Amino acid sequence: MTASEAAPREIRFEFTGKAREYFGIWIVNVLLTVVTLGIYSAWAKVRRKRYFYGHTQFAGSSFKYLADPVAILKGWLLAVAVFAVYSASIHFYPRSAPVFMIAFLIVLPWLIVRSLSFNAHNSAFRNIRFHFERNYREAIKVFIGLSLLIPLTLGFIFPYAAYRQKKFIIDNSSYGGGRFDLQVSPKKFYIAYLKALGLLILCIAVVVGISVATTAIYGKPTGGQEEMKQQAQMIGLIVAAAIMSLYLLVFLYLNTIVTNLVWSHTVINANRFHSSLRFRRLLWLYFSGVVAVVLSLGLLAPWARIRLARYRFANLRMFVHGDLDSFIAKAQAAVGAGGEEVGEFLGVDIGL
Amino acid sequence: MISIRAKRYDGNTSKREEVWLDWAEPGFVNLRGENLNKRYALSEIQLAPPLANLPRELHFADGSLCEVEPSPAIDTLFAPAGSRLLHRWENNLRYAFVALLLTGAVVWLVMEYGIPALSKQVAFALPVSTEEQLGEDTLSGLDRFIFMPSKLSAAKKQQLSKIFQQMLSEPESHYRLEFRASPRIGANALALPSGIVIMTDELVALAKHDEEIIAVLAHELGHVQYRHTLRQVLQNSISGLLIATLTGDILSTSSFAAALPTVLVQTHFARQFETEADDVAVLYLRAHKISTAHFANILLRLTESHHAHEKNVTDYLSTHPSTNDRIQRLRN
Repeated sequence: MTASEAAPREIRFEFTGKAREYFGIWIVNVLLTVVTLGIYSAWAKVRRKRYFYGHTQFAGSSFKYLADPVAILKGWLLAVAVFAVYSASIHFYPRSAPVFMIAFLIVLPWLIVRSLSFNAHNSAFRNIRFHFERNYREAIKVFIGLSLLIPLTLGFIFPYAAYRQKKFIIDNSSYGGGRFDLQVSPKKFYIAYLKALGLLILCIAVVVGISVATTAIYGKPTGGQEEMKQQAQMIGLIVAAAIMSLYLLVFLYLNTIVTNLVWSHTVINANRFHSSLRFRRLLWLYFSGVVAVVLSLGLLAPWARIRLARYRFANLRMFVHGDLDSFIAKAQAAVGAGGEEVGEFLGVDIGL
Repeated sequence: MISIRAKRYDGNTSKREEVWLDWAEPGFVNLRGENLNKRYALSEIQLAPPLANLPRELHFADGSLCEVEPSPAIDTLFAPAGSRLLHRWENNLRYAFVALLLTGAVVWLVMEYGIPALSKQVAFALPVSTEEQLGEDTLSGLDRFIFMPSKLSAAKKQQLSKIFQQMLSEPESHYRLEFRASPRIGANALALPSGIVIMTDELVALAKHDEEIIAVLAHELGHVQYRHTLRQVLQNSISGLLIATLTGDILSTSSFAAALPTVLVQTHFARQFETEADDVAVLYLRAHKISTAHFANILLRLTESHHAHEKNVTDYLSTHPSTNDRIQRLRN
């Protein structure tokens, strides 16, 4: 029996960070960032990521974050400058907003590619860096072209666009001469999005049902006009809160099943990942996390973050054929952090 | 001789080896493995800044990496004093608690004094003409959505405009009074950037004396004179950035987590501006021998008229100080 025919070994990821330990790093980061008017945020980011990467264990080794804080600082300064020009323009010439929108759309693919590239280049495992192929043409097609088609196709292309974007990110990533590959059919993305849509409809039905029932019980107009207006406003507030939580709920559900789908079909050198996140567990972690953070005025934030990382990595594993010693480094050029920082500032959230 | 166990990654393959690092002679380290025997000068070795209890990373000039268990000896040998200090600070809960108190104090100082002072400097440094376009755009936007043409008689308008003109210390061309009707917002007066003051018909109807109108106009002119719109935009942007930086590190759902503190801070700024404009109005009224009771009266009536058709639920998020507080200030 040869190695390739043997049953693959299952190797689990593990996150070993501790809330108490991270709390110290976090609070010092916050303090120094505020005192230095944000300059320290570059160093803060490196320390935070080094802590999280360093505690992510796989096959007896941990990940490393290697970014140079000065490169991140340059990107941050660029982002601050862009933001200042944007705010000033919007204030003095509100009509310039569409110009910024178009400019942003044009640089978006560049931002995404740069940021993925910077992140991959500065992530290492066993002293070998990850790599992201800077494929701008494909990025324009996937992030701008397909997105523009969404309204034209009444949203039918949406799951396909999401599929192509994920595939773009994964297929252009590599580690030590091995290329990542997303081996999944778009059909599974359609199924995932349909499930999310089903959940949305179910939730809306429940909310509508409850409000109809409430109106039936308490709805008899009592008291004067004043009171009715007050009641109408209360109901308005409750409905707004319900819509907000619905949105978050469905978003989290979609995010969970897509994350599972993507990881479980990602392959590198015939080794397959597997992700087994559960929506109900994540919902509880996020919900209790937000409540704890708000009630503690932010002090429990490090704890919430650590707990989430612990759960996420506990549910990620890889089925390995052969050994993990044979990945070979290849020469790579350094990448500036401009894209990543500008992207982070303007709320472009990228990642698996 | 000191020997330390290490995990070595050569930087060319993903292989891991167990090795020993020997300090046999000063200034050099010997690296000894199964099929390995290398000698490095200390200057060829760089330690990544120590972090928590994670293994220390020794980066060698040839691209290889050794991970060793954390120990004070390794840190003193390789880490610069600054990074060791930072590491000590992060890892001692008592020091972290000091950092926490300092953070609270600094954030408060920056929000309460730093940002307002900075915005004031910037706003006063910019000429009023920079805001002309914005003022006109805002007015046409308001006209489209909440205002209707005023139904006041020409004589009434002329009389009020005359009062307004007399209130200006020197004839300033960019100040002007506009009249509008608005069932939506009811009795109200607004100051827009570049010196446009709008008064609703409902407010004119609510006022029982000209002195009350003067008091309201003086308050609005206070907003204009102290560049409140511009300062508010500046303060909100800067504080928004600060809050985003702070909460960005808190939860990945930052936009959601940052919303509440941002709103609280911004309404706090708005209330400060109202108080400042009230002070301007009081100074004006005193200088012109008009009783501040007129201001108090119109404020009370405004509050009543608003309560008749407005919400209470979100009062604590109000952009205005409570009327009681405002009147209390007028009396002092």
